[in-house]
Amino acid sequence: MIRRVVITGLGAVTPLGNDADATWRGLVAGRSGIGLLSTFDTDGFPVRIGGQVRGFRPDERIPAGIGWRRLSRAGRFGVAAAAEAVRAARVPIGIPASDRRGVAMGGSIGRPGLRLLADTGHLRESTGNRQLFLRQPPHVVLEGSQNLPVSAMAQLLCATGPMIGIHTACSGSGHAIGESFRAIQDGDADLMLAGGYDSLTTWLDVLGFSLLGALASGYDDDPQAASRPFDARRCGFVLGEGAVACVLEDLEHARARGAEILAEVLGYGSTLNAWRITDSPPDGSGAIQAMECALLDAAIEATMIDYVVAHGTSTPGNDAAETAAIKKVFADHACRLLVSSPKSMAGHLTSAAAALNVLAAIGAIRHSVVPPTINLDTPDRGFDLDYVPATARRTPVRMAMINAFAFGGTNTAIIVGRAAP
Amino acid sequence: MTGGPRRVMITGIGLLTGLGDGPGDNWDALLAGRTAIKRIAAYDPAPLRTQLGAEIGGFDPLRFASRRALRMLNRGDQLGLAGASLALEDAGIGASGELGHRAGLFFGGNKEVPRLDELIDRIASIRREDGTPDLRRLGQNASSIMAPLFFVEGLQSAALFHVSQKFGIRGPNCFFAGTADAGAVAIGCAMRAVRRGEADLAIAGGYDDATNWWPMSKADSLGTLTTDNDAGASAFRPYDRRRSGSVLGEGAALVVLEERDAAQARGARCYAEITGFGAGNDCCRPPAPDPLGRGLARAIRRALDDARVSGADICYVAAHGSATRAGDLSETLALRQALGSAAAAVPASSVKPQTGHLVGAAGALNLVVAALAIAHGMLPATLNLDDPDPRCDLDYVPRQPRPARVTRAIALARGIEGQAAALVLERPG
Repeated sequence: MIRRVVITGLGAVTPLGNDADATWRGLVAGRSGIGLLSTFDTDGFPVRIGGQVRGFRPDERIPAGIGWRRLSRAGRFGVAAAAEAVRAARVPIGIPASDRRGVAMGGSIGRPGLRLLADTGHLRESTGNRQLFLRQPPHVVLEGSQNLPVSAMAQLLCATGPMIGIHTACSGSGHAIGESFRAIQDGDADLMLAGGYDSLTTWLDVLGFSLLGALASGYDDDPQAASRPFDARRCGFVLGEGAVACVLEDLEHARARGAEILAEVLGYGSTLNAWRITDSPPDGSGAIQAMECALLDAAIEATMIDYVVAHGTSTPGNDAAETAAIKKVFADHACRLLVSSPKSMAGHLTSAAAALNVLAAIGAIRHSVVPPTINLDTPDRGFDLDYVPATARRTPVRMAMINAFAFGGTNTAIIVGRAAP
Repeated sequence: MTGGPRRVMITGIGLLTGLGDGPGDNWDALLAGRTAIKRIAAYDPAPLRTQLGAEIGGFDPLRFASRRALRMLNRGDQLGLAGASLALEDAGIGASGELGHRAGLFFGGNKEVPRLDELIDRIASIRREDGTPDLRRLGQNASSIMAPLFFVEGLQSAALFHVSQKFGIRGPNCFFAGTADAGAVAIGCAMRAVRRGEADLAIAGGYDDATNWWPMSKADSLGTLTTDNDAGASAFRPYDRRRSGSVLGEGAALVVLEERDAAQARGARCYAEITGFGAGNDCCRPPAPDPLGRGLARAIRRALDDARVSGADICYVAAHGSATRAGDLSETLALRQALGSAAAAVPASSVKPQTGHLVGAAGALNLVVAALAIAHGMLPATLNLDDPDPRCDLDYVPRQPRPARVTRAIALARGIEGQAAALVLERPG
């Protein structure tokens, strides 16, 4: 008998709001969290906008014993979202730590500081390349570690079970939630904290992605219109930052402790495109298989899905391939589905993007409201799905599929459904 | 189908270390007591407190990818691609082609931001008189400072792409970012995917270019590396009284896992079966481990449970042995706790003094060592263990390899942030 897995808590720090509830309200209101970036001085940069977290107070959100000062910007978002999710799920915290609990998080390795690189260059010049580099102080090294925040999450959860850091770019939290789902099914843990955290709003990320031609540009005067998934005038994605964490739990474990069950995780699939590193195949093949694997895993018919939380990046290629993939997987049912992209409002939270989509799916299931795709004013040719343009739609949602398709050709699809009666 | 749960065999090994390529050369070198550790040669390590490393000399990535493709791969990813190619070749599966949707990829590594030398050189052009970088000029001259492919090369999980593309692998996948735990967790999750039926074949393991100056300049600060440079290769002495930390090495350790019936149907050679996987963490503030190694103890207990065996069934431990003061002691205590009274009698050894600590590949290397111990009936030694620490009081197979019939082994891995993983292997029956 396969163990059933439910979600009992959510936490978030996003451009739409600094907790899960505010993020959900932002999604339903169709509010854009995109503006001019102030994470560094963007004057002169080819792209100057992003979905930035604002007004976040780590000291108020991160328990004192964890020590927020040692954490990176991304790490602070992640640990704050994790603490909120653990609190929301009313997970009992105390000594001794439990080896039936674990953490799996999507994230990214820390970026080197520009000043360090400049100083290193100066050192090389002034020593005639006899000295190639500087040693880095331990606190800087640890702050750059992708997994330091994950260990802080394990500490706040009092968990000695699995502690897993994942990076698969834009599908990172999809993999993290998927592997956590498997870990609970397989009996490795009864409870997993899963999601993603990222802050790719540094000079390095903005330049790196803009040199690839992946970012929407030309919207400095109207940042809120830049992310326009499925719109004919879409021209790239908008970088975002933030964190979303979910408490996944064995159904019986959750019932036994009287936890409120928000939704059930029903299926997971991950695939590889084996196509090109920066694009997805136009026929949507890798995405199709991910969605089909998730349906097969959940053992449900495609017609049970009422809502697809799209990857919907607002790049020309992704949105076309995703539309083709949804049509292929859902066939006649595709025109009855609702499909929307939270990235139209929050920007692309990279490693946290799939987890934000899970938050949207859970909200839609619980509140019978599907968040919109904003900025979708000019439907593109052949883009004839119901993308819920502009305003949220009130409608019951039984089950939702969450898509994440990454740079590098990794795809994940997750299915969540109404809480088991 | 023979009925019953699906079983997962190791049918191919791809190995690159400073000792050589492939399981054969590496195994011979391990048993001969050779070591790859010496002063770092790829650059001048003078600014480092630790100037030792186990580098791979003469690695030729053109054996595995075209010059054009290689423009997008940093050295770590090249090692990953090479390791995956060698593992498939060792398994007797074609050099390239289409393995399809029933094949998965699970990798672990510690990939860093690439092309830093180039970036450092070019950032010089935007440095002001006072040494501060001029961000505005950086933004305006971006395309002359950063290579257009910077982020393509820099993608942490890039090797998943390159390997999937070379072999047409389209099934379940994940990239685990971490240190020794990463490659071991990758193998554990791959084993589960095959056992569960999501895939019939998977390539899994780890790779790392850990001796590169950038990761070295970071690791050098954490107090986990030995600074006994004058001692050369004998500086790395796990479980010894005079141990003073690790020496890093570069390398890749990847395996081909196959569902047993499919492997047998094609007449594949099976090194070992993977029967159990467990993960844990120390739940304390890095970089110090929990003094009792509770995360590692949990990983071992869980792996034994998963394999439905007890501590007394284990004949060999491919141990972590990072040679830090706290690491080796807490590992010993974790083994005692998890294996119970059987711990005292079980031989356990660490090959790290020979290959160096392969970081993202270290846990995967231990799995390979355990598989080869099963296949060859020999236990590699722990080199330099001349004066065992009385508190590290297990049978750590000092200095000399030892013949032994190994029916079941366990491979261990620990990460710098407190992660732990354990894998149970069994002699194919």
